[in-house]
Amino acid sequence: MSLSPLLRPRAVAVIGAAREPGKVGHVVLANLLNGGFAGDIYPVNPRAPVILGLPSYESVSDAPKPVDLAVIAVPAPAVPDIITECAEAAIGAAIVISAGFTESGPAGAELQREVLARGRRGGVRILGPNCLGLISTHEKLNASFAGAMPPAGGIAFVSQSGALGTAILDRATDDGLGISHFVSVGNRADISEPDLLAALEEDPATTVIALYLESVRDGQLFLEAARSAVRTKPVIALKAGTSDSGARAVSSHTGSLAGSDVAYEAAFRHAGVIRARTVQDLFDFAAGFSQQPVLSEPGVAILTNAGGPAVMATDAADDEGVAMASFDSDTLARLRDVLPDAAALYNPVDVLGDAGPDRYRASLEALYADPGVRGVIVLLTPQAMTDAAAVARTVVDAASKSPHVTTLACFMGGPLVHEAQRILAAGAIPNYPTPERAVHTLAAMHQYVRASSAPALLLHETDEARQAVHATIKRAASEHRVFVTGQSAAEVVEAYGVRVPPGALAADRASALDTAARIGYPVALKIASSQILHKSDVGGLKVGIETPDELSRAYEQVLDRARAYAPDAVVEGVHVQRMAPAGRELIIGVDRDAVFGPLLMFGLGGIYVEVLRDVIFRLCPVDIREAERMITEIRSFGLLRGARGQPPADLAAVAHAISAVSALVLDFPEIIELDINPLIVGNEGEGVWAADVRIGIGGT
Amino acid sequence: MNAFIVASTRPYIGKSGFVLALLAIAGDRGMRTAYFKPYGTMPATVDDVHTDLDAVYISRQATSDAPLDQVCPVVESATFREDVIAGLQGDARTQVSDAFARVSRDADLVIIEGPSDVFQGRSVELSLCQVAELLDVRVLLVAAGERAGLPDSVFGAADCLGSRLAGVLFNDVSAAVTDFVKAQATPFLERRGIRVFGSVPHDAMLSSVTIAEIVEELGGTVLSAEANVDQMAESFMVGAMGQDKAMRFFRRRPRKVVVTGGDRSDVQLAALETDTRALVLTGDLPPSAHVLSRAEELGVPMVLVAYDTLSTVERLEKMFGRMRLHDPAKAARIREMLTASVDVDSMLTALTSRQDPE
Repeated sequence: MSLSPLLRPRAVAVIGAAREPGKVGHVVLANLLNGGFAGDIYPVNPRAPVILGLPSYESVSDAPKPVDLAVIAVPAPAVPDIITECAEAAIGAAIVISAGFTESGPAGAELQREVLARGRRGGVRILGPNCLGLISTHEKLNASFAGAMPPAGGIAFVSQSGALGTAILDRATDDGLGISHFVSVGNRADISEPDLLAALEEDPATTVIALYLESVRDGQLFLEAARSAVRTKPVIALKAGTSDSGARAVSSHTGSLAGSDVAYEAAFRHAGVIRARTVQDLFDFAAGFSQQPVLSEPGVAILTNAGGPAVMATDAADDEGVAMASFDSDTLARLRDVLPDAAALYNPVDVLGDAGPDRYRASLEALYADPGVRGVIVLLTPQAMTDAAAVARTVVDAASKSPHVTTLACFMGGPLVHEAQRILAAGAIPNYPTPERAVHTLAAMHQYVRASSAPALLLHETDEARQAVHATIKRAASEHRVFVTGQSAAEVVEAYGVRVPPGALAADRASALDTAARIGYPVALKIASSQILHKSDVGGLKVGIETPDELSRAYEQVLDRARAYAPDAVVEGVHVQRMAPAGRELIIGVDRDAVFGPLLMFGLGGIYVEVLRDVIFRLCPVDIREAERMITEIRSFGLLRGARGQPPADLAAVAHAISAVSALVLDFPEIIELDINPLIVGNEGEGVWAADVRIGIGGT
Repeated sequence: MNAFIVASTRPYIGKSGFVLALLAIAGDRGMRTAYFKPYGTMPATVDDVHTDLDAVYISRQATSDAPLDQVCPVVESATFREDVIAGLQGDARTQVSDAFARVSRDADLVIIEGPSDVFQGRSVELSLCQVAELLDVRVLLVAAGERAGLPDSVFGAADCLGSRLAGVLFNDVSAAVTDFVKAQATPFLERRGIRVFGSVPHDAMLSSVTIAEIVEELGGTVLSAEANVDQMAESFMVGAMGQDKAMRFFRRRPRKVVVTGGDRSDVQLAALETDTRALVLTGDLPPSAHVLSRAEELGVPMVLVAYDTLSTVERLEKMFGRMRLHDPAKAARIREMLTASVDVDSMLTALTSRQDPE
């Protein structure tokens, strides 16, 4: 059902409107009136004939004309019946400002379910309850109990904290940032982020969507809505509750799991959502995205009157992977013409401390004309000869003539640059107080552009493979196993095309010797027990066994150690496996995130995984291209590519293994955790071996 | 009149459950049954009679109406122990044989619950072997189905029981060791002349406890989903980690109780996302209203207790370590599993056959 009755209502009723100043029902009505809403406004209150000069109605159904939106500020127990009245009056949306629902305990939760049920039945979409309300600047609609209306503009802000919202709106007014909609979602009984993302994606007044999130309810819905929105406009998210203590605070604040931070990181990346780490990031990015064209290709020029800040900007660009432009010869010639001999012509361009607006203008025009320049950061420090305000006016004017280039300013200082900063704000040139913040915003733009997704290159397994895995998992479940046996785990990944060294479970020494003779030495011996997860910790693993004698000794050691260290563990025997050939050790792991589903980890494996933590995460599905990107992103990529004469590893086989694991865990939601550690990769053309596989199905 | 002993190699491996099941089977076949427990170790006073707690319950399932002090004539209470040590205790053996005569008077079959290991009762001449000889009956020995170790206690019992050891019944055999028990341990014992009647698989339902029992044991207050306190939990876990790890940890165990602090909303929500039968909140810290609402919505009882986490865990460990039989559903389940895994008729024949007819 569309959200237009909410975002673009023609008439609004305030149910629970009050005469007494200070009451929520009064503030909301006053805000509606003061905002200048052009449509009809109907106060509803059976006990007051006139409120704030408007005739008041006994019931919403008495309103003389059809109402699209009801703002409800009555005590919680009365809300369900009000929703029914709204449904009868064919009202499309209701904002429930009242508190006393899920946030107050089981009785409130029951009330909230009732409100939702009546809304669903009667076709009334519900924002809240327990929310601050909604502001739509272009409609001059202030249906909230927040204060003044912020300036109109392109930033839509959706917040899980109403209170934070008021601070952000106030600050936006200060910074001259234009807002299209402000939505406080409250308890999210009905309308939540995915609905709003879909509506704002379609909203022509909105150019950027900013979210303040503590938790996401339905990860898949969120991802789909965000991914779709990102195709037409940038989505910036500030996610709070990233630490363990913060996550706990989120749980008690919203009643939702905060979810793991790596999963959010992966989810934002997956959907192309730009992550703001701080409120400052949120403002910086929102300013850049809403006022300037997005930096679509590499090539940034830095123009400065001071050497130091330019060096810092260059360092930051290098750190953040923002590529600097190389000027073509025409540009260099023009710069040489307009700048003094002492000026630096190559990027960064230093117009020197005595530069006036003319030098800035001439240089800017030269840079804008260079096809390799896609973005410009204009730096200025207030030196003795500097007329900051005049330079600001020049920048605004020059930039307005080159709307295809991203122009950001960094006028550093205090009172000496205040006027200039005001001019820049009025001219829609975002100004950042430090060079690093300007560069950080350009990096966010880069990230947004990269997020425009290529078609997926997913692996599709045969039905045969799927059936084999299905049978294995079913058998393990019927035996009430939490982890499938080592042998079964090997068969499962093998069915999806990840090679595993041959091996078998042996219940006694004689069959261990038989198995080894059959598969050939050298072999590895692993304790087989679903209760021993870390085999090497209890001495339950012996590798490089070359002869039957060694195998007999190892058999004894492995079982004795296991019994000594884990006396209660149920031991099923030993797993005898052919040693994989030597190679570089990697890890592929999957964990199922509470919000976003399977989260795939890849990195350097073996003993290094604990020490170096050189791993990265992605949400599934991970296609082959994304897998290739993961491989290049780990810090140890150099080891895989081949360093100092070492031949390169078989990266294609690694990428295939990563996307095979992704396909496997998506096909089988029963798999709640999976580790291949180590995944041994040979040189190019030699493939990979899953030397040890662990698959958890969580018990049934 | 026929009689036999059901004994075990160690405590809590299902001896009482089999006694109940066999009483029920015999009862269904029209036999007048009696239950006898020569040596009780769970002292309790019921109707002014000093007796054994399990004996009270189990004897009610038999048809005999022998008085309680005869059903369990010797109870190892504190004063009993002091008397034994001080040399003041009278002849326990005579008490046992007299009571047995009384209990077996009107019965077709007396099932005797033996000690929980081979040595229990030895100080008063009432060990397994001594009772078997005293009452001249054969023995069903219940052994744990496990892989670790050799069956020394089975042989220990066989040494003194001789032909009175009718055979061994493996119980609580998990899927992982079924092959070992059937293909290795069973032939091994049989080669050494010890009959194995069969092996009864592990069943999680049997070692489970109801949430109501937990509430009672911990003196807790149910804050949500009170209607679901009759649900059963099979195990418990303690939540003291961050929410990332908590999910992985909680998913590994179905039908569980999670113990955590009332202030740990993150852990509580993670537990609610997985198969959790109840949340026990320690330290008398009430949960956040949001979480309480969620628990109510999902129908998961939240139980507020005054104990700290450690004391709560100690109490729960005791509850989950032991099978509680005072539940008709469990008794029925044991019977079902026993008849599915063992040829009960031939077992009963072996247990009641006599070398010298009366």
